[in-house]
Amino acid sequence: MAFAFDPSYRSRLLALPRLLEQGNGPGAGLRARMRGGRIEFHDHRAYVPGDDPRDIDWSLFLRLDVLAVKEFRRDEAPAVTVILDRSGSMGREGGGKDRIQREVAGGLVHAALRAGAPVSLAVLGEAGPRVLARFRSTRELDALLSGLERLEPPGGPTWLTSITRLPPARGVGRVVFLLSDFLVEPPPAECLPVLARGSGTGFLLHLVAEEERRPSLRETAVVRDPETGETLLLPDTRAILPHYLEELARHEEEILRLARAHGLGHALVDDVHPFETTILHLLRGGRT
Amino acid sequence: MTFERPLVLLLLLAAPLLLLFIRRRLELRPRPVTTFLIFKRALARLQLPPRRRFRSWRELPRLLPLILALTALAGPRLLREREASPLVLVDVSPSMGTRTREGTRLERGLRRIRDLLPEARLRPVAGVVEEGTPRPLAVFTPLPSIEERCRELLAAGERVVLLTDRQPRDLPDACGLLLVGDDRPDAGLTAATLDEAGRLLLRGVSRGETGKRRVVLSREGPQGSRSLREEEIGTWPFRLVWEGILPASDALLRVRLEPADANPLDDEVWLAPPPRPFVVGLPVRGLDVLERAFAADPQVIILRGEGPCDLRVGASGEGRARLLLPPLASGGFRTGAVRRVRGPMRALGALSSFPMGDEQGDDPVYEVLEAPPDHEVLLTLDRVPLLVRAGDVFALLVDPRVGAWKNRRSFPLILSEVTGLLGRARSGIRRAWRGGEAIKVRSPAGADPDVHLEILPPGLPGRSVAVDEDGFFRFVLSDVGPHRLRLQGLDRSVPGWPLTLTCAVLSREAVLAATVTTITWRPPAPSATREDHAVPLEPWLLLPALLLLLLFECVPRFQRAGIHRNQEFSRP
Repeated sequence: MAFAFDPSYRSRLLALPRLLEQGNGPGAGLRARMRGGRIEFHDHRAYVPGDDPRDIDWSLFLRLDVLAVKEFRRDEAPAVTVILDRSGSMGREGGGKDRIQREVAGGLVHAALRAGAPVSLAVLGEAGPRVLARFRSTRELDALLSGLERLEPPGGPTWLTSITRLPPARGVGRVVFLLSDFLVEPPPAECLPVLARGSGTGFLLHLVAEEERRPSLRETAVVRDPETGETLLLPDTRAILPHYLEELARHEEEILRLARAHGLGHALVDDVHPFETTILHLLRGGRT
Repeated sequence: MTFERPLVLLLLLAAPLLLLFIRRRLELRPRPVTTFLIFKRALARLQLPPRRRFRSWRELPRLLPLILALTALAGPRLLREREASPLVLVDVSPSMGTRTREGTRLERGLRRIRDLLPEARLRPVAGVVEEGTPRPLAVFTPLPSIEERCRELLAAGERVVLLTDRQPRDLPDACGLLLVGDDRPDAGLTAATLDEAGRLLLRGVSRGETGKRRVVLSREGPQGSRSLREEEIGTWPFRLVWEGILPASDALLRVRLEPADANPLDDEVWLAPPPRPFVVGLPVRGLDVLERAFAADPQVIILRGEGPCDLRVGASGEGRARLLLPPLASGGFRTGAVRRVRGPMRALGALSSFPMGDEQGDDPVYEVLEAPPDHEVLLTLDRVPLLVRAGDVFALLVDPRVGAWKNRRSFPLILSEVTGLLGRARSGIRRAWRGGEAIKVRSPAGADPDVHLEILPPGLPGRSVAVDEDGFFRFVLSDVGPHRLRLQGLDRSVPGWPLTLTCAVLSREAVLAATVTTITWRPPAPSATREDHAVPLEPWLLLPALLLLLLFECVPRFQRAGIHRNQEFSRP
């Protein structure tokens, strides 16, 4: 059965930019969290105590004896790339992990478009990130939703190392959002610096589903890797479960450590919280 | 305990193996897990003990639903020995159809026996309807066929309960009996006698639960009713003597039980003074016919030496001539020529209720030339007046010495009616029917047995005989009103003080309302034979199996499928 968003998803998506700007002022939001782009003069306004003295236009003060500060704005937003890991470890199509990945991706694309940034939607592939669609306006919302719904079901291995083939950021800069569960061996330490090359920056969105935190297995079970087909006999899942949870926490810590080490943003994404919460935490600088 | 399908139990041997096989297949089926890598790391850290065949003793109860279901399919039966259930022999003779507001006797008896058998820890398994012989209501007829059948069944080892409305005569003691009947609680006066010393003797009996009643003595006169004595009666039967009761000569005494019950026939007694004698003065000779006619009336006293005919009421000297014989010229009457008249005789006016039948007459009748304006024709012969009356003066327009009428059967009767009419007009006391008269009493054969009181005409219009269902009272009807009858008891009349009863005609509804069902119950003797009773056990096995299945399978699924997704977004 093909994936379909919840009927309320579109309205929630349209309300997302307003949520992002609430409580942050007109200059905050997605644009403020993005590096890159060029700053240019926009207008003067009267000085008020508390303004940065460096923004005072001293030449204007000398010529006209008026104390005013200069206001700037980015004249061009950085390009945004949303890369999805669609490997078999993302679970079945329509499952919790797959659903939250599509929802968060849609939210990020829409928020970036509202900030004026062009957005590319790509998936990891063997030959590197494969761009599925490019969006330049929020008027392409229907195309965005349709594209996300028509994503191929999860399957195949995790081509995380292929992200090294991502071309470096140029011009006004680039923001890369990588949505993956990072379940590869060994951890992708050497490929992550690619995201922060040049004038770009990157965010790691670590997907962990609730059923992965609370696995339900019989006492004796055989588990299969959906990516490689490898099977594993779990003779006593009760005894294994504490170690499993410990390893899962260790894996999350490892990804967080890698993100910090390379100056990347990081967020844990689960299918318990709504996607708006994840994006709000991410773009306001919070780390989950 | 036995099993209807014991072969199914063989599946119990294979059930554990089958269950283990299925579970193992389910457990070992590779299941895709997205965190396979994490499981792999965790397994590498763990040193596992050797695997057990049964991983936990808690797995064993999971076999219970299957074991219980298979056992139920085998049809387990718990055998219990109990006493043989009784056969119910039902008497369906016509009297069982006697209906009250609660239904017929048959319906009431069946309803009651359904309650009584479980109370006696008996289980009715069969009802044998026995065709009883139709029998009259008032005649006791035994039920030989049913009694013989009871004996046969008892000899065969059966337990028998007989449902009937008639007490069987030779019912074996071992046979149970449910006797259903109708009863009307009734209390009544059986004797009321007032002697010349002024002592009033009262007797009364009751049947059934009648409760307390009051007996009231009152004096009835033209000025109305006046209560003289009253006393509450709590124990039955009772005998009561009141002294000093000296009523006036013309007064009526009324003794009644209050309140009246459904059968007021015996709740009220009227004590009337004796009718006064009629004094008839006749000449020494010449009116033998009249003498014989009056002599038939026991209340008539005949005096000779006066007359030609002096009919008086009361003591001698009080009366005056009231019966005129032709030719006559007194009392406002005057007669003329004699004319022979032939034809049917007909009674009119106050004698209209007198039965004449097809009696024919052929007599020389005197023509009436003068008569008082308010005179009344009592008897005609071919429409020619034969007996006329003006007040208390009667004029006979035929000479009893020469006419043929004197030889007819109705002649003395009509003369006695003359005395009756004369006495009634004089004293206002209703004349009682004389005991010498022939009264035909017909039993209500074929009548509706529910009707408590039957009024049957014995051939005399206006004079009927009433008998109740049991023939307990016999009455002569002397007056008919729209709603009441005044009756005189024949059997209990006291010479000189006839017992007079006044009763209401009982309606069918009143009788039905007063009728209660009487039940006599005798359980059957314990039987020597016992029977096996198989109690099915399937429900006691399938229900726990279902509950255990829900406990072991469905509850964990629900727990595993706990809803952790929070689709609702709470705005910050």
